[in-house]
This record gives sequence, structure tokens and C-alpha cells, in this order.
Amino acid sequence: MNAALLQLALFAAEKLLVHAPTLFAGFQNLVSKKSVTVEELKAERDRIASQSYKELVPNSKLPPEELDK
Amino acid sequence: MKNIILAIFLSLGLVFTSGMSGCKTNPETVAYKASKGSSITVEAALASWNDYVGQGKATLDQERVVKRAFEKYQTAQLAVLDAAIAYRTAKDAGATGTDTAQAKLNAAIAGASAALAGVIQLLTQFNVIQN
Repeated sequence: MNAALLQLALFAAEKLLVHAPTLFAGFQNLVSKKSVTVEELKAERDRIASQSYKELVPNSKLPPEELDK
Repeated sequence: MKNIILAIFLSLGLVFTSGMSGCKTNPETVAYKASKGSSITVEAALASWNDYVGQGKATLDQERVVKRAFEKYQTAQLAVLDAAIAYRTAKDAGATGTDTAQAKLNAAIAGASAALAGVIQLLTQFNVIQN
């Protein structure tokens, strides 16, 4: 693993400690997953597509016309 | 506590390096894991950014830059998943030429890694994420 990914992993690990039980279980499932179906790939695609800056940063001070783009 | 940090770190390491380790995981599963792993990281990073913005520390221009970086990451992630779906669909149909689909998937994963790094680099630059 290169240095940038190492830093990334350490940062994520630190933040994940706050929610350790639930997210740790999620990571265990993820790492142990041997194969994935087309339906799972499509569900993940839909989940990513539905995300927005507005939803992930509710404290945003950007004007509504920019947030809704 | 330290064991949990180490366990999560190792899990993250496995997710991010599973495509490079030479282990016999099929490409679409590698893409799925990479996508899930990086989305958790981005969501954690933006949660920190949200706190930072809530504290009044971010300018509107900084928010615009982060928003663009997130959307660039999102587009790249969708490209990965679209390529993975295409690859898996072709494989299930017994189509020939899955090498081309796999090459596209690999390229999409590389693009998404770069976009993810862009988000993290930005938040590090704004001191939201500490080195």
C-alpha cells in the first residue's frame, strides 16, 4: 500500500472509531465478500447516484440554487 | 481501542489493495469492494467537512471547490460501477471479449482512485483532515 493510501486508511480508521461497532461489522462483511451479483452492483450504483453534496453537508452555506444543481 | 483501530486499518488496507494483491477475486467484486470502501471514506471525510462548515471555518469558495471534487468523485465511482455491471453482464452471458470490458473496468477504478485522492487532498489542504 502506498503512503497516500496508508494516510487515507489511517484517517478513515480514526473517524470510524466513533461508529466502530456498526461500521466495523460492515467492513468485516465487505472484506469477507467473495463475489457480487449484478443486482448488488446496480443497488450500489443507485445508492452512489442518489447522494448529493447537499445531503452529505447539511451545514452548507451555499445558496439553494447552487446546492440543488 | 487500539485493536479496533488496527482491525479497521487492516480491513481498509485489504479493501484498497485487493485489486493489486494478485489474490483471485473476480474483477467486479474488486470494483464493488473498492467502491464501498471509498464511499465510506468519502462519507467520513464529508462528515468532518460538514462539522468544519458548521463551525463557520469554510468560505463559500472553498465549499464550491469541495462540492466539485465530490461530484467528480461521484461521476468516477458511477463509471466504475457501470463498467463492473457491463463486465459481469458480459461474463454471465458467456460473451467473448471480456478482456476489453475488464480493461475498461481497470481504467475506471484508476480514475476513481484519483478522484477519491482529490477529495482527501483538498480536505487535508483546508486542514479538515490532519496529516
